[in-house]
Amino acid sequence: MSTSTWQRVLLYAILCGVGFILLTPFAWLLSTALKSESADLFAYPPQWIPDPVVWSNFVKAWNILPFMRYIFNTFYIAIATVLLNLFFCSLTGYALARMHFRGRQFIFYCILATTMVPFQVLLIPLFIVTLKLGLVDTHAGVILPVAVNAFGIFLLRQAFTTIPKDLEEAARIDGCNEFTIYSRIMLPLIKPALATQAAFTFVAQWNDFLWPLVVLKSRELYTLQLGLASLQGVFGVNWRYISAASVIALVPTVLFFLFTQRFFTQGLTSGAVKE
Amino acid sequence: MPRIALLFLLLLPLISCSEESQQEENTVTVEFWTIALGDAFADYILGMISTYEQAHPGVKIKWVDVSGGEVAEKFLAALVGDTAPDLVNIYDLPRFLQYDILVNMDEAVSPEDKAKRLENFWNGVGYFQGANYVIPWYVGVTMMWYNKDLFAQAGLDPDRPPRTLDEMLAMGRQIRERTGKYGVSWRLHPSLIAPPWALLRMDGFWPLFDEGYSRTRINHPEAKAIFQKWVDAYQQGVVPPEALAASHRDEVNWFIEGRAAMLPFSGGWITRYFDKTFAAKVATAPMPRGLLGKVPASNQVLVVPKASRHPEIAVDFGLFVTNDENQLEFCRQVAILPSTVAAAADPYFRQPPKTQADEANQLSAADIPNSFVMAPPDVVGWSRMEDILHEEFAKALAEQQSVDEALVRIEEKWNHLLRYQ
Amino acid sequence: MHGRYTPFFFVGPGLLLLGIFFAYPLLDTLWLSLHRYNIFTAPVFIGFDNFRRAWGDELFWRVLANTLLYAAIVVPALVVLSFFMALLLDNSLRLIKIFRTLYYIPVVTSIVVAGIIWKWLYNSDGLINAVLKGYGIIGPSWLADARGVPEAFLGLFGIQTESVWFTEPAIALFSVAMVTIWKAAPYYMIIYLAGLQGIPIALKEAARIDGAGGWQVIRHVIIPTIKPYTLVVSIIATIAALRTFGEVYVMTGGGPFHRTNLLSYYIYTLGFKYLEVGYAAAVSVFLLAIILIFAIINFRLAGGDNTTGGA
Repeated sequence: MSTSTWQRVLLYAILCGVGFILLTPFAWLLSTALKSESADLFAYPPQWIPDPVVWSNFVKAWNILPFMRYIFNTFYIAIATVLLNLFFCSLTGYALARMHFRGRQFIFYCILATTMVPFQVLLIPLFIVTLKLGLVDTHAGVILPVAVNAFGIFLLRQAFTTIPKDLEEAARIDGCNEFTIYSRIMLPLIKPALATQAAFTFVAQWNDFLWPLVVLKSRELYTLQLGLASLQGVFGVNWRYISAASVIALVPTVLFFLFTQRFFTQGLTSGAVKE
Repeated sequence: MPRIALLFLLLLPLISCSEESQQEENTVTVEFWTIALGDAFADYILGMISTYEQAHPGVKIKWVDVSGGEVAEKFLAALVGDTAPDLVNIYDLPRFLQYDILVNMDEAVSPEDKAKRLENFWNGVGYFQGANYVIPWYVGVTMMWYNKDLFAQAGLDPDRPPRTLDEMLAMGRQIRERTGKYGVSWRLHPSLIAPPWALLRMDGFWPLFDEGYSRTRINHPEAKAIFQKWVDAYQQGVVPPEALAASHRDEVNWFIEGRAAMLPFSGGWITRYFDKTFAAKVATAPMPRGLLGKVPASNQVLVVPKASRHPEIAVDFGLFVTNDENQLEFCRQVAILPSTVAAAADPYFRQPPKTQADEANQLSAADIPNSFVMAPPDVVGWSRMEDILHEEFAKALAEQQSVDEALVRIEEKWNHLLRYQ
Repeated sequence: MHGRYTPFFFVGPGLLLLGIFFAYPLLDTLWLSLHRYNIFTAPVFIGFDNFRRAWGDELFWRVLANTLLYAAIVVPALVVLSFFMALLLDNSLRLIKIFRTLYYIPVVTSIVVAGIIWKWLYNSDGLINAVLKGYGIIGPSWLADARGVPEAFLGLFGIQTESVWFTEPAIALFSVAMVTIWKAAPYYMIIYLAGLQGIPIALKEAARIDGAGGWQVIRHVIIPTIKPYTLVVSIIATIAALRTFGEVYVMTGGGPFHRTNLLSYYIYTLGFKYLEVGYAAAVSVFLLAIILIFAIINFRLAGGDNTTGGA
């Protein structure tokens, strides 16, 4: 779309307006994190710019919660989940899309039906399974139940079906075996769909609260979500520390999304959900 | 496919990290869970553990500090998985007591050890239909924090806090009318300090059931008068409207935010959340009395699940953690109270107070003999009954029904549950 | 073509994991829903008693109604809002990447933190009411008020009404839904954004040359083209709405008197607080049935399953 100067100005104005609504809660969070011990947090009208600005809340919050560990755990869990999920979903999706075998349609429809089952329904029995496998209080216990999901299989299967047959034939004539065709030829062709699935999985796992809450018990295994939840126990009600800790917790995520944004949006652009 | 091999190498620790570390032979490991003590008390807990381990060669104590809200869920999970911890600090006991899964302490603890512990805590939250299933640990007796600034603004004498519950509500009303702030920070939804059933008990309406637990007697004029008093107070803005839908500790926040003038609370440890300006505004007072004349006390307890592999050692270590000496030391570190006879009588609790927390604690300590333990009725199915009580009471608070209607419905539903169970 | 057993090496690992962590718990749920089970003693078979009990459980119906109302607020709002946010971000301004990232912040915010902030905003004397006060409106305690939204709105103009039709949704439920919308809209925005970027510029230009105004381009070119994305967004949003847990857990605990209690939170309470695992399973089966019905309606409305993917 070609844009003139006034259009651009207007667009920026609207962007800022919407952004303002979305981010107002954060302005308060940030402002609280920067307030001193003697500032009244709940003054009316609200004081947006702290006077004086104090950085010590960040230092204290950083020292009391093992942030590096929580951030590491969260990234580790999210990334491991994404990798495993892409691997298992693409493998299954590939077979369902490109191979002929007895029961293929049946399996596909079963999987399709199960995209609808919510995690919540399974919570209690899933917990019992996880327990029996000895995975309670391990990261594996958080990761494995979501290492494959029906929606992912469905998404990637759809992507595989769009690839022309001749590519596969050519590879077969060159003497490639089935796994090589899958990994060398087919996977690169559905990169956009993989990116889509990766984005969905990453965000879901990053935000997950209930399952890690039930599975993990050792503090050193906690994710950021659980660490922040435990803040109320450790800090009680010191809003300044809670705010500071929350801001700290946001930084790595925001940076991560700033730098991987292209990957996510491009991934979604070409292929996966398109006709 | 080297890249895929790499992927698996990366994920290998994930698969293998669940393996248990090898244990030395002849060593018995006892797992001990606490609630959200965090780093602040690590030295104290680890100190006790090493003393105990030195005195008992062959015993190892594994300490797990579980973050606050989730300890019961984790405990449950561990029980299902047959990986029960041996000694657990736990709250909200009724759901566990009714299933007979905890070691009976009346049988497991010697009469001498029992005699060292205060009777009302021994037969307190862990008492269920004839026996006690817990070892009492530290105690909180309710006192009151109040905001002198708000008292002064409302034209009340900042040095004359209320002495009775009725007076507290009246002053709260005046504060609401004159300052626009709320009078009392009190959570009427599930609450630790005073759940609805405790409102009844503080004003002398007790018990809630007949002797064989066949019927409830809650639909009673006395109960009605007590609830009506609170409903009126809520509707007049004495209590913040959020009292109806709040979560853990919100009432503490309201007080610290300066939104409400009075906070009934279990002692002095709350001061670590005060900042300097706020600390200068607040003062302590004994908890205002209801018609019962006694104040509510809460009690943290240790339990030993029957599924423990070493129940005797767990009980022994539990008695060690809660002995006079160790409890007194804990009380020195944080403003709480002990549950043993000798420790409670220690001169430490009568020294001239040095801090606000000390002041609060001495008020609490002075009321130990005057307290009743916040133990809900020892009836099967209490968790569900309590939720019914909350729901119907809350509807009355929000003017969706009259107190009369609420009591009729509670009576009906409770009696139904009593028959069903 | 390929060895006879090769497909099963491909399908096997995925199906195995699905079987362990999905099919088995699902069957277990169905099985448990026919039993009385409290975790500590062996399950007792009681036939369909749990379902009969749910049928007569006032609270279950209350919670079910809440959940459907909540989905009815959240899903359309998300579909519309995220689409317009995506339209707004679909351009090549120099700072657009920064805006996209900023807009995305609510998605990656911990629900715990979001809960804390929103509780502040929603307090009877919180920021929202402070602003309303400037306009002479005395706002409610947003998360604790059980009055219906229409009822309260009419009340602003001095109209008192007794009709039951004005009592839903409760202000508190509406407030919880707002938090969900705030937190999830940028997530779906990204999906739409991808869709918009896939539309060839030539198509939009062509429409413009034909004399179509901005709104007409949106209506006749963009909306039809991104229909598959709308389907994906509405399905994911519906499922997510019916599964909502964190907002309730963190902000209201289901209060006031269960007006914000949603099915997944109720299931959690039944299982972990009352230890009525069999009954919790029966309620779960109900939830499952509802989600299936919704999914089918969604598919039908959006024109069948052939638009969802590439095939």
